[in-house]
Amino acid sequence: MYKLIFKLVISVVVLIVLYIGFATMFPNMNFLKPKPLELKKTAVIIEESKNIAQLFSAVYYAEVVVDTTITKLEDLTHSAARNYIAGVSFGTVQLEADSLEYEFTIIGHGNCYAGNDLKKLQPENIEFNDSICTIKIPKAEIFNTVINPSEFEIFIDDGGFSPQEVQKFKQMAVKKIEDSALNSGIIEKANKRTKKLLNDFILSLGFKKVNIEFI
Amino acid sequence: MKQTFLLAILILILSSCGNKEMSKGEVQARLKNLQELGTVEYTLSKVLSVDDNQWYSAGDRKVLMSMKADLKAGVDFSKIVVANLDHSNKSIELKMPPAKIILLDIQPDKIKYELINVSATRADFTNDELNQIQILGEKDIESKLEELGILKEADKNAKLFIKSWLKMMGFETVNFLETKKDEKNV
Repeated sequence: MYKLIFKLVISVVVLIVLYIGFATMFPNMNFLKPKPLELKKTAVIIEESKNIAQLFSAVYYAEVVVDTTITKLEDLTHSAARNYIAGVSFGTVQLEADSLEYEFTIIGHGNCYAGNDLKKLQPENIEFNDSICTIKIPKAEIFNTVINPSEFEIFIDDGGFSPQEVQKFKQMAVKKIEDSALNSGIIEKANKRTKKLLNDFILSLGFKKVNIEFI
Repeated sequence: MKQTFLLAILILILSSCGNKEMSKGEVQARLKNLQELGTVEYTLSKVLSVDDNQWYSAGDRKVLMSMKADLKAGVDFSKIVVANLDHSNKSIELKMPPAKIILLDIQPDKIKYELINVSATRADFTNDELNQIQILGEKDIESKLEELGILKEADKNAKLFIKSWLKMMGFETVNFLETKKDEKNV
């Protein structure tokens, strides 16, 4: 009888080991693996389209970290917290603050784009004679600061933050890159680059001298 | 001997803690030149719907999100070159590079959670899983850009803009030479 049970146990162990080995070597053929999250098919809709004339002349790439910690005392009513302090009387024991602390750290890497809006260019902003061209263009501005979902990495998540709060942290990361770009002189860089690009292009049109002014 | 063993354990614990360490607010950055003339801007939207049923658990998890994306496309301004120039007739011929996508911008505040429904038998979606769903949405939008005809529109608008600009500069005839396929950027 014991021999039979022993053989059965050994067979089950061997089968489990074989399965683990197979699943590790051929993960795609592992029929027991969890199904990955999949989107249902929905259309991409064009809500609006418009003509622009933005000369993107500088880009600032940055990697930023947003880190937040909160202490949620109200979570004492939560069952998980109750279990954690099981057997402790609320009135007599000082709870350690960090036992209810939630930390969230997100890393975002994205780009801040700046340039000059040439759509604002009016005929009176361009003066020319045979060899000299003077053009007045608007000063550079930030067009977009982009950190898309694929450019975020959640580094620490203790589970105390709602999805909506996480979106707010992501927004903070975007703002952080924009502020950092402005402090790094992206506007000046964009103006300088635009000046060179327009200068080269207008010279290729046959003008001998180009004056570019920012308004 | 015992002390050495304890010291080794302590070093191991401390070195494993070190992996999680990072300097907060750390910023790595670089500023670069760019030369793209953006000529079209699109606002796109998509509904992200996921129904997570697993063989090993009872109940399911559902999430419904809406996502809006801004997209800008245009041409490389530095590659617009003058092919022929005739000052006496005030005419010009230009070579224009093919249009391309400059950026896809999905702002975090443009992603809204419409519904999150999790059965009592299942764990909530983690924030990382929700971010993975957003990434799937981003990739899906990216994969459909070609079907939307955005590049054609960007190309058309680039020519219109350059034409009207050169007319402001005194040129009466502005023509564009066809870009050969083998000259096109991918």
